[in-house]
Amino acid sequence: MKLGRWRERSPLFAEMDDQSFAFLESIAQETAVRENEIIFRVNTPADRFYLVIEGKISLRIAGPSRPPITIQTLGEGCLLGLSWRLPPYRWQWTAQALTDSKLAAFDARTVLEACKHNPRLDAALWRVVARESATRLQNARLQLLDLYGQE
Amino acid sequence: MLPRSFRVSERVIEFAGTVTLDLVPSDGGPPITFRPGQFAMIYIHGVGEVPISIAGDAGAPGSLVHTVRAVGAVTNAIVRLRPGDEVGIRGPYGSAWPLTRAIDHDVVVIAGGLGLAPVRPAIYHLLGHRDAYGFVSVAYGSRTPADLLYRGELHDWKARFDTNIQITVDHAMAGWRGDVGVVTPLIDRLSFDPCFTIAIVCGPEIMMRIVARDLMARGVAAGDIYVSLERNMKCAIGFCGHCQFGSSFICKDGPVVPYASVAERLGMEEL
Ligand SMILES: Cc1cc2nc3c(=O)[nH]c(=O)nc-3n(C[C@H](O)[C@H](O)[C@H](O)COP(=O)(O)OP(=O)(O)OC[C@H]3O[C@@H](n4cnc5c(N)ncnc54)[C@H](O)[C@@H]3O)c2cc1C
Ligand code: FES
Repeated sequence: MKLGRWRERSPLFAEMDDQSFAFLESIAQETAVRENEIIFRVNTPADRFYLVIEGKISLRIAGPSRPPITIQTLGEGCLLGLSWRLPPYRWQWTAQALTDSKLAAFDARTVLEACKHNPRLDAALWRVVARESATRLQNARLQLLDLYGQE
Repeated sequence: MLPRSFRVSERVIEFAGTVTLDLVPSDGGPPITFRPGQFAMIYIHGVGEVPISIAGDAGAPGSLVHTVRAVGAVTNAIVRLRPGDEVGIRGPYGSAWPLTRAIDHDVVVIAGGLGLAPVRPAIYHLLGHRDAYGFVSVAYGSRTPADLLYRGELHDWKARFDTNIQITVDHAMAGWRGDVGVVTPLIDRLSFDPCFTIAIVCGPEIMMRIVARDLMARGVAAGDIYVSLERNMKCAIGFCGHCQFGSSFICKDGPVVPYASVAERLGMEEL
Protein backbone atom coordinates (compact mmCIF):
# COMPACT_ATOMS: atom_id res chain seq x y z
CA MET A 1 0.00 0.00 0.00
CA LYS A 2 1.40 3.45 -0.94
CA LEU A 3 1.95 5.52 2.18
CA GLY A 4 4.19 8.25 0.74
CA ARG A 5 1.95 11.16 1.64
CA TRP A 6 1.92 10.07 5.30
CA ARG A 7 5.70 10.22 5.51
CA GLU A 8 5.73 13.81 6.77
CA ARG A 9 2.23 14.00 8.16
CA SER A 10 2.03 11.11 10.58
CA PRO A 11 4.04 10.82 13.77
CA LEU A 12 4.28 7.11 12.97
CA PHE A 13 6.76 7.79 10.16
CA ALA A 14 8.06 11.27 10.86
CA GLU A 15 11.54 10.27 11.98
CA MET A 16 11.81 6.86 10.36
CA ASP A 17 14.73 5.96 8.09
CA ASP A 18 13.93 5.12 4.47
CA GLN A 19 14.52 1.40 4.81
CA SER A 20 12.25 0.99 7.83
CA PHE A 21 9.56 3.08 6.19
CA ALA A 22 9.80 1.02 2.99
CA PHE A 23 9.41 -2.17 5.02
CA LEU A 24 6.27 -0.92 6.79
CA GLU A 25 4.89 0.31 3.49
CA SER A 26 5.47 -3.12 1.95
CA ILE A 27 3.43 -4.93 4.59
CA ALA A 28 0.65 -2.34 5.06
CA GLN A 29 -2.78 -3.71 4.23
CA GLU A 30 -5.52 -1.29 3.25
CA THR A 31 -8.60 -1.92 5.39
CA ALA A 32 -11.99 -0.28 4.99
CA VAL A 33 -14.27 -0.16 8.03
CA ARG A 34 -17.90 0.86 8.05
CA GLU A 35 -19.47 3.33 10.44
CA ASN A 36 -20.05 1.63 13.82
CA GLU A 37 -17.85 -1.35 12.95
CA ILE A 38 -15.70 -2.64 15.84
CA ILE A 39 -12.01 -2.71 14.86
CA PHE A 40 -10.84 -4.46 18.02
CA ARG A 41 -12.31 -5.30 21.39
CA VAL A 42 -10.90 -4.72 24.83
CA ASN A 43 -8.95 -7.63 26.32
CA THR A 44 -8.52 -9.54 23.07
CA PRO A 45 -5.05 -10.22 21.59
CA ALA A 46 -3.39 -7.07 20.22
CA ASP A 47 -2.00 -8.59 17.05
CA ARG A 48 -1.84 -5.50 14.85
CA PHE A 49 -1.72 -1.73 14.71
CA TYR A 50 -3.06 0.83 12.29
CA LEU A 51 -2.51 4.19 10.69
CA VAL A 52 -5.80 6.07 10.25
CA ILE A 53 -5.89 7.14 6.60
CA GLU A 54 -9.42 8.54 6.57
CA GLY A 55 -12.30 8.83 9.01
CA LYS A 56 -12.66 8.90 12.77
CA ILE A 57 -12.18 6.10 15.30
CA SER A 58 -13.31 6.12 18.93
CA LEU A 59 -11.57 4.37 21.80
CA ARG A 60 -14.17 3.24 24.33
CA ILE A 61 -14.43 1.46 27.59
CA ALA A 62 -17.45 0.24 29.52
CA GLY A 63 -17.58 1.20 33.18
CA PRO A 64 -19.39 -0.88 35.79
CA SER A 65 -23.16 -0.59 35.37
CA ARG A 66 -23.05 2.27 32.93
CA PRO A 67 -22.93 2.60 29.16
CA PRO A 68 -19.54 2.65 27.42
CA ILE A 69 -17.76 6.01 27.36
CA THR A 70 -15.48 7.26 24.65
CA ILE A 71 -12.15 8.32 26.08
CA GLN A 72 -10.50 9.51 22.91
CA THR A 73 -11.07 9.82 19.19
CA LEU A 74 -8.38 9.36 16.56
CA GLY A 75 -8.42 10.95 13.13
CA GLU A 76 -6.30 11.05 10.00
CA GLY A 77 -2.60 10.38 10.49
CA CYS A 78 -3.04 8.97 13.99
CA LEU A 79 -1.51 5.74 15.19
CA LEU A 80 -4.27 3.37 16.32
CA GLY A 81 -3.06 0.70 18.72
CA LEU A 82 -0.13 0.69 21.14
CA SER A 83 -0.79 -2.57 22.99
CA TRP A 84 0.86 -4.76 20.33
CA ARG A 85 4.26 -3.46 21.47
CA LEU A 86 4.13 -4.36 25.17
CA PRO A 87 3.10 -7.40 27.22
CA PRO A 88 0.45 -8.64 27.83
CA TYR A 89 -0.24 -7.77 24.15
CA ARG A 90 -3.97 -7.34 24.70
CA TRP A 91 -6.11 -4.36 23.74
CA GLN A 92 -6.86 -1.99 26.62
CA TRP A 93 -9.83 -0.34 24.87
CA THR A 94 -12.40 -1.13 22.25
CA ALA A 95 -11.92 0.69 18.95
CA GLN A 96 -15.01 1.50 16.91
CA ALA A 97 -15.36 3.45 13.67
CA LEU A 98 -17.45 6.61 14.15
CA THR A 99 -17.56 7.15 10.39
CA ASP A 100 -16.77 5.03 7.34
CA SER A 101 -13.00 4.90 7.61
CA LYS A 102 -9.90 3.71 5.81
CA LEU A 103 -6.94 2.28 7.69
CA ALA A 104 -3.48 0.94 6.91
CA ALA A 105 -3.12 -2.23 9.00
CA PHE A 106 0.24 -3.67 10.09
CA ASP A 107 0.59 -7.23 11.33
CA ALA A 108 2.29 -7.07 14.73
CA ARG A 109 4.03 -10.43 14.55
CA THR A 110 5.62 -9.57 11.18
CA VAL A 111 6.76 -6.19 12.52
CA LEU A 112 8.12 -7.58 15.80
CA GLU A 113 10.01 -10.28 13.89
CA ALA A 114 11.52 -7.64 11.59
CA CYS A 115 12.50 -5.55 14.62
CA LYS A 116 14.74 -8.41 15.79
CA HIS A 117 16.90 -8.01 12.66
CA ASN A 118 16.50 -4.26 12.15
CA PRO A 119 17.51 -2.27 15.24
CA ARG A 120 16.69 1.04 13.54
CA LEU A 121 13.12 -0.05 12.88
CA ASP A 122 12.91 -1.35 16.44
CA ALA A 123 14.19 1.92 17.90
CA ALA A 124 11.97 4.03 15.66
CA LEU A 125 8.87 2.10 16.69
CA TRP A 126 9.80 2.30 20.37
CA ARG A 127 10.21 6.04 20.00
CA VAL A 128 6.82 6.39 18.36
CA VAL A 129 5.09 4.24 20.97
CA ALA A 130 6.85 6.00 23.86
CA ARG A 131 6.07 9.47 22.53
CA GLU A 132 2.48 8.58 21.75
CA SER A 133 2.05 6.99 25.21
CA ALA A 134 3.50 10.08 26.89
CA THR A 135 1.23 12.42 24.93
CA ARG A 136 -1.84 10.33 25.69
CA LEU A 137 -0.91 10.12 29.37
CA GLN A 138 -0.45 13.88 29.50
CA ASN A 139 -3.78 14.47 27.79
CA ALA A 140 -5.50 12.00 30.13
CA ARG A 141 -4.09 13.96 33.08
CA LEU A 142 -5.43 17.18 31.63
CA GLN A 143 -8.82 15.51 31.23
CA LEU A 144 -8.67 14.55 34.91
CA LEU A 145 -7.76 18.13 35.76
CA ASP A 146 -11.05 19.30 34.28
CA LEU A 147 -9.33 21.72 31.95
CA TYR A 148 -12.40 23.76 31.10
CA GLY A 149 -13.94 23.82 34.54
CA GLN A 150 -13.74 26.39 37.27
CA GLU A 151 -10.31 27.28 38.57
CA MET B 1 -18.98 56.22 36.90
CA LEU B 2 -22.68 55.53 37.52
CA PRO B 3 -24.29 52.44 36.01
CA ARG B 4 -26.84 52.89 33.24
CA SER B 5 -30.16 51.12 33.41
CA PHE B 6 -30.66 48.11 31.11
CA ARG B 7 -33.55 45.65 30.81
CA VAL B 8 -33.33 41.93 30.03
CA SER B 9 -35.00 41.47 26.65
CA GLU B 10 -34.16 37.81 26.12
CA ARG B 11 -32.84 34.92 28.20
CA VAL B 12 -31.53 31.66 26.74
CA ILE B 13 -30.51 28.76 28.96
CA GLU B 14 -27.27 27.38 27.50
CA PHE B 15 -27.14 24.52 30.05
CA ALA B 16 -27.74 24.17 33.78
CA GLY B 17 -26.40 27.24 35.61
CA THR B 18 -25.37 29.14 32.48
CA VAL B 19 -27.53 31.60 30.56
CA THR B 20 -27.12 34.08 27.73
CA LEU B 21 -28.89 37.40 28.29
CA ASP B 22 -29.73 40.16 25.82
CA LEU B 23 -29.82 43.53 27.57
CA VAL B 24 -31.31 46.68 26.03
CA PRO B 25 -31.04 50.25 27.37
CA SER B 26 -34.05 51.26 29.45
CA ASP B 27 -32.78 54.77 30.27
CA GLY B 28 -33.55 56.20 26.85
CA GLY B 29 -29.82 56.34 26.00
CA PRO B 30 -28.04 54.80 23.00
CA PRO B 31 -26.94 51.15 22.86
CA ILE B 32 -23.41 50.45 24.06
CA THR B 33 -20.79 50.10 21.35
CA PHE B 34 -17.74 47.98 22.11
CA ARG B 35 -14.71 46.25 20.63
CA PRO B 36 -14.50 42.42 20.63
CA GLY B 37 -12.80 41.25 23.82
CA GLN B 38 -14.07 44.04 26.08
CA PHE B 39 -16.23 43.53 29.14
CA ALA B 40 -18.95 45.37 31.04
CA MET B 41 -19.70 45.62 34.75
CA ILE B 42 -23.14 44.21 35.57
CA TYR B 43 -24.68 45.59 38.73
CA ILE B 44 -27.53 43.84 40.55
CA HIS B 45 -29.19 46.15 43.01
CA GLY B 46 -28.55 45.10 46.59
CA VAL B 47 -26.27 42.21 45.60
CA GLY B 48 -23.18 43.56 43.88
CA GLU B 49 -21.33 44.13 40.65
CA VAL B 50 -19.23 41.79 38.48
CA PRO B 51 -17.21 42.01 35.25
CA ILE B 52 -18.69 39.97 32.40
CA SER B 53 -17.35 39.78 28.84
CA ILE B 54 -19.49 41.07 26.03
CA ALA B 55 -20.43 38.07 23.90
CA GLY B 56 -22.45 39.71 21.10
CA ASP B 57 -21.68 41.11 17.67
CA ALA B 58 -19.83 44.43 17.83
CA GLY B 59 -21.02 45.12 14.29
CA ALA B 60 -24.68 45.01 15.36
CA PRO B 61 -24.72 46.66 18.78
CA GLY B 62 -28.50 46.91 19.38
CA SER B 63 -28.35 44.92 22.58
CA LEU B 64 -25.62 43.91 24.96
CA VAL B 65 -25.16 40.12 25.03
CA HIS B 66 -23.60 38.33 27.99
CA THR B 67 -23.17 34.65 28.79
CA VAL B 68 -22.96 34.09 32.53
CA ARG B 69 -22.19 31.08 34.67
CA ALA B 70 -23.49 31.06 38.23
CA VAL B 71 -20.54 30.67 40.61
CA GLY B 72 -21.39 33.00 43.50
CA ALA B 73 -23.79 35.59 44.84
CA VAL B 74 -23.83 38.07 41.96
CA THR B 75 -23.61 35.64 39.07
CA ASN B 76 -26.38 33.52 40.66
CA ALA B 77 -28.57 36.61 40.79
CA ILE B 78 -27.76 37.38 37.13
CA VAL B 79 -28.55 33.85 36.01
CA ARG B 80 -31.95 34.08 37.77
CA LEU B 81 -32.93 37.28 35.90
CA ARG B 82 -35.99 37.07 33.70
CA PRO B 83 -37.07 39.14 30.67
CA GLY B 84 -38.22 42.54 31.90
CA ASP B 85 -35.86 42.63 34.91
CA GLU B 86 -33.56 45.64 35.28
CA VAL B 87 -29.78 45.69 35.81
CA GLY B 88 -27.13 48.40 36.00
CA ILE B 89 -24.39 48.45 33.36
CA ARG B 90 -21.04 50.24 33.31
CA GLY B 91 -18.68 49.97 30.39
CA PRO B 92 -17.43 48.88 28.00
CA TYR B 93 -14.02 48.47 29.61
CA GLY B 94 -10.67 46.92 28.85
CA SER B 95 -8.53 46.04 25.89
CA ALA B 96 -9.71 44.18 22.79
CA TRP B 97 -8.61 41.27 20.59
CA PRO B 98 -6.00 42.45 18.04
CA LEU B 99 -8.27 42.14 14.99
CA THR B 100 -6.64 45.03 13.14
CA ARG B 101 -3.16 43.68 13.72
CA ALA B 102 -4.42 40.30 12.51
CA ILE B 103 -5.45 41.62 9.08
CA ASP B 104 -3.73 39.62 6.31
CA HIS B 105 -2.60 37.05 8.89
CA ASP B 106 -3.90 33.57 9.57
CA VAL B 107 -6.02 33.63 12.70
CA VAL B 108 -6.37 30.78 15.16
CA VAL B 109 -9.07 31.10 17.82
CA ILE B 110 -8.89 28.59 20.66
CA ALA B 111 -11.50 28.54 23.41
CA GLY B 112 -12.16 26.29 26.35
CA GLY B 113 -15.42 26.00 28.28
CA LEU B 114 -17.03 29.36 28.94
CA GLY B 115 -14.06 30.97 27.16
CA LEU B 116 -16.06 30.78 23.94
CA ALA B 117 -18.15 33.74 25.15
CA PRO B 118 -15.36 36.36 25.16
CA VAL B 119 -14.04 35.22 21.77
CA ARG B 120 -17.46 35.08 20.10
CA PRO B 121 -17.37 38.77 19.09
CA ALA B 122 -13.95 38.14 17.50
CA ILE B 123 -15.38 35.17 15.57
CA TYR B 124 -18.29 37.32 14.37
CA HIS B 125 -15.81 39.94 13.19
CA LEU B 126 -13.55 37.44 11.42
CA LEU B 127 -16.46 35.77 9.65
CA GLY B 128 -18.00 39.15 8.79
CA HIS B 129 -14.72 40.40 7.26
CA ARG B 130 -13.56 37.07 5.95
CA ASP B 131 -11.59 38.46 2.98
CA ALA B 132 -9.35 40.55 5.24
CA TYR B 133 -7.79 37.46 6.85
CA GLY B 134 -5.89 34.37 5.74
CA PHE B 135 -6.85 30.96 7.10
CA VAL B 136 -9.33 31.30 9.96
CA SER B 137 -9.66 28.39 12.37
CA VAL B 138 -11.53 27.89 15.60
CA ALA B 139 -10.83 25.08 18.08
CA TYR B 140 -13.25 24.74 20.99
CA GLY B 141 -13.09 22.26 23.84
CA SER B 142 -15.64 21.63 26.55
CA ARG B 143 -16.24 19.05 29.23
CA THR B 144 -19.15 17.16 27.67
CA PRO B 145 -21.48 17.59 24.69
CA ALA B 146 -24.04 19.02 27.13
CA ASP B 147 -21.59 21.83 28.07
CA LEU B 148 -21.20 23.20 24.55
CA LEU B 149 -22.20 26.86 24.24
CA TYR B 150 -24.03 28.32 21.24
CA ARG B 151 -24.79 24.97 19.63
CA GLY B 152 -26.85 26.35 16.76
CA GLU B 153 -24.13 28.80 15.83
CA LEU B 154 -21.37 26.21 16.12
CA HIS B 155 -23.35 24.13 13.67
CA ASP B 156 -23.66 27.04 11.23
CA TRP B 157 -19.98 27.95 11.52
CA LYS B 158 -19.00 24.34 10.88
CA ALA B 159 -21.02 24.36 7.67
CA ARG B 160 -18.92 27.24 6.24
CA PHE B 161 -16.28 26.18 3.74
CA ASP B 162 -13.98 29.16 4.40
CA THR B 163 -13.37 28.46 8.08
CA ASN B 164 -12.02 25.42 9.90
CA ILE B 165 -14.06 24.73 13.05
CA GLN B 166 -12.90 21.90 15.32
CA ILE B 167 -14.81 20.88 18.44
CA THR B 168 -13.86 18.36 21.08
CA VAL B 169 -15.21 17.24 24.45
CA ASP B 170 -13.48 15.55 27.37
CA HIS B 171 -16.09 12.88 27.94
CA ALA B 172 -18.88 11.51 25.81
CA MET B 173 -21.36 8.69 25.87
CA ALA B 174 -22.29 6.68 22.79
CA GLY B 175 -24.29 8.88 20.48
CA TRP B 176 -21.76 11.73 20.31
CA ARG B 177 -20.23 11.50 16.85
CA GLY B 178 -17.68 14.25 17.34
CA ASP B 179 -14.17 14.33 18.75
CA VAL B 180 -13.20 13.29 22.27
CA GLY B 181 -10.00 14.49 23.92
CA VAL B 182 -8.46 17.73 25.15
CA VAL B 183 -8.31 20.79 22.94
CA THR B 184 -4.55 20.82 22.24
CA PRO B 185 -4.41 17.90 19.75
CA LEU B 186 -6.84 19.91 17.60
CA ILE B 187 -4.05 22.44 16.96
CA ASP B 188 -2.43 19.92 14.62
CA ARG B 189 -5.53 20.00 12.46
CA LEU B 190 -5.61 23.76 11.99
CA SER B 191 -4.03 25.34 8.92
CA PHE B 192 -1.80 28.31 9.67
CA ASP B 193 1.59 29.70 8.86
CA PRO B 194 3.14 30.15 12.31
CA CYS B 195 5.18 33.15 11.14
CA PHE B 196 2.04 35.02 10.06
CA THR B 197 -0.47 33.93 12.65
CA ILE B 198 -2.32 35.73 15.39
CA ALA B 199 -3.76 33.42 18.04
CA ILE B 200 -6.75 34.38 20.18
CA VAL B 201 -7.02 32.16 23.24
CA CYS B 202 -9.55 32.18 26.06
CA GLY B 203 -10.38 29.72 28.79
CA PRO B 204 -9.25 28.90 32.31
CA GLU B 205 -5.61 29.92 32.90
CA ILE B 206 -4.32 26.37 32.93
CA MET B 207 -5.93 25.74 29.56
CA MET B 208 -4.45 28.94 28.09
CA ARG B 209 -1.01 27.92 29.33
CA ILE B 210 -1.01 24.53 27.66
CA VAL B 211 -2.51 25.93 24.47
CA ALA B 212 0.18 28.66 24.37
CA ARG B 213 2.86 26.03 24.97
CA ASP B 214 1.62 23.95 22.02
CA LEU B 215 1.18 26.97 19.74
CA MET B 216 4.73 28.03 20.51
CA ALA B 217 5.90 24.47 19.78
CA ARG B 218 4.31 24.94 16.35
CA GLY B 219 6.35 28.12 15.90
CA VAL B 220 3.89 30.88 16.86
CA ALA B 221 5.69 33.67 18.76
CA ALA B 222 4.54 34.34 22.34
CA GLY B 223 3.90 37.95 21.33
CA ASP B 224 1.43 36.82 18.66
CA ILE B 225 -0.64 34.77 21.10
CA TYR B 226 -3.29 36.84 22.90
CA VAL B 227 -5.06 35.63 26.03
CA SER B 228 -7.87 37.11 28.12
CA LEU B 229 -7.30 37.20 31.88
CA GLU B 230 -9.82 37.13 34.69
CA ARG B 231 -9.25 38.73 38.08
CA ASN B 232 -11.61 40.03 40.72
CA MET B 233 -12.61 43.59 39.96
CA LYS B 234 -14.19 46.46 41.77
CA CYS B 235 -13.77 49.80 40.00
CA ALA B 236 -12.85 48.46 36.50
CA ILE B 237 -11.12 51.77 35.69
CA GLY B 238 -7.69 51.38 37.26
CA PHE B 239 -8.32 53.11 40.62
CA CYS B 240 -8.84 50.54 43.32
CA GLY B 241 -6.06 48.03 42.70
CA HIS B 242 -8.36 45.02 43.11
CA CYS B 243 -7.36 43.51 39.78
CA GLN B 244 -3.65 44.09 40.16
CA PHE B 245 -1.56 41.48 38.34
CA GLY B 246 2.10 42.20 38.95
CA SER B 247 2.79 45.64 37.60
CA SER B 248 -0.45 45.90 35.61
CA PHE B 249 -4.17 46.22 36.25
CA ILE B 250 -6.29 43.69 34.37
CA CYS B 251 -9.21 46.11 34.05
CA LYS B 252 -7.14 48.75 32.25
CA ASP B 253 -4.17 46.94 30.67
CA GLY B 254 -6.24 43.81 29.98
CA PRO B 255 -8.21 41.64 29.94
CA VAL B 256 -6.71 40.90 26.51
CA VAL B 257 -2.91 40.80 26.65
CA PRO B 258 -0.10 39.22 24.61
CA TYR B 259 0.92 35.94 26.19
CA ALA B 260 4.56 37.12 26.13
CA SER B 261 3.73 39.81 28.68
CA VAL B 262 2.24 37.39 31.22
CA ALA B 263 3.84 34.01 30.49
CA GLU B 264 6.06 34.09 33.54
CA ARG B 265 3.35 35.33 35.85
CA LEU B 266 1.00 32.63 34.64
CA GLY B 267 3.52 30.12 36.02
CA MET B 268 4.96 28.97 32.73
CA GLU B 269 7.88 27.30 34.52
CA GLU B 270 5.51 24.88 36.25
CA LEU B 271 4.67 23.20 32.95
C1 LIG C 1 -12.72 40.53 32.36
C2 LIG C 1 -13.61 39.47 32.91
C3 LIG C 1 -14.54 38.87 32.09
C4 LIG C 1 -15.40 37.90 32.59
N1 LIG C 1 -16.33 37.35 31.76
C5 LIG C 1 -17.19 36.46 32.25
C6 LIG C 1 -18.22 35.93 31.41
O1 LIG C 1 -18.33 36.24 30.23
N2 LIG C 1 -19.08 35.05 31.96
C7 LIG C 1 -18.99 34.65 33.27
O2 LIG C 1 -19.82 33.85 33.70
N3 LIG C 1 -18.02 35.12 34.07
C8 LIG C 1 -17.14 36.02 33.60
N4 LIG C 1 -16.18 36.52 34.42
C9 LIG C 1 -16.09 36.00 35.79
C10 LIG C 1 -17.08 36.70 36.69
O3 LIG C 1 -16.73 38.05 36.80
C11 LIG C 1 -17.02 36.02 38.08
O4 LIG C 1 -17.57 34.74 37.96
C12 LIG C 1 -17.82 36.81 39.07
O5 LIG C 1 -17.10 37.97 39.39
C13 LIG C 1 -18.08 36.01 40.34
O6 LIG C 1 -18.82 36.82 41.21
P1 LIG C 1 -19.89 36.22 42.21
O7 LIG C 1 -20.29 37.30 43.15
O8 LIG C 1 -20.97 35.53 41.48
O9 LIG C 1 -19.07 35.14 42.95
P2 LIG C 1 -18.20 35.33 44.26
O10 LIG C 1 -19.11 35.33 45.42
O11 LIG C 1 -17.22 36.43 44.05
O12 LIG C 1 -17.42 33.96 44.18
C14 LIG C 1 -18.05 32.74 44.53
C15 LIG C 1 -17.07 31.61 44.37
O13 LIG C 1 -16.81 31.40 42.97
C16 LIG C 1 -15.44 31.51 42.74
N5 LIG C 1 -15.28 32.21 41.48
C17 LIG C 1 -15.27 33.53 41.28
N6 LIG C 1 -15.06 33.80 39.98
C18 LIG C 1 -14.96 32.62 39.35
C19 LIG C 1 -14.75 32.23 38.00
N7 LIG C 1 -14.56 33.10 37.02
N8 LIG C 1 -14.73 30.92 37.71
C20 LIG C 1 -14.89 30.03 38.67
N9 LIG C 1 -15.08 30.33 39.97
C21 LIG C 1 -15.11 31.60 40.31
C22 LIG C 1 -14.86 32.29 43.86
O14 LIG C 1 -13.49 31.94 44.05
C23 LIG C 1 -15.73 31.87 45.00
O15 LIG C 1 -15.28 30.66 45.55
C24 LIG C 1 -15.29 37.49 33.95
C25 LIG C 1 -14.34 38.07 34.78
C26 LIG C 1 -13.50 39.04 34.26
C27 LIG C 1 -12.48 39.67 35.15
S1 FES D 1 -10.70 46.86 39.26
FE1 FES D 1 -9.99 48.62 40.28
S2 FES D 1 -7.99 48.81 39.49
FE2 FES D 1 -8.83 47.23 38.28
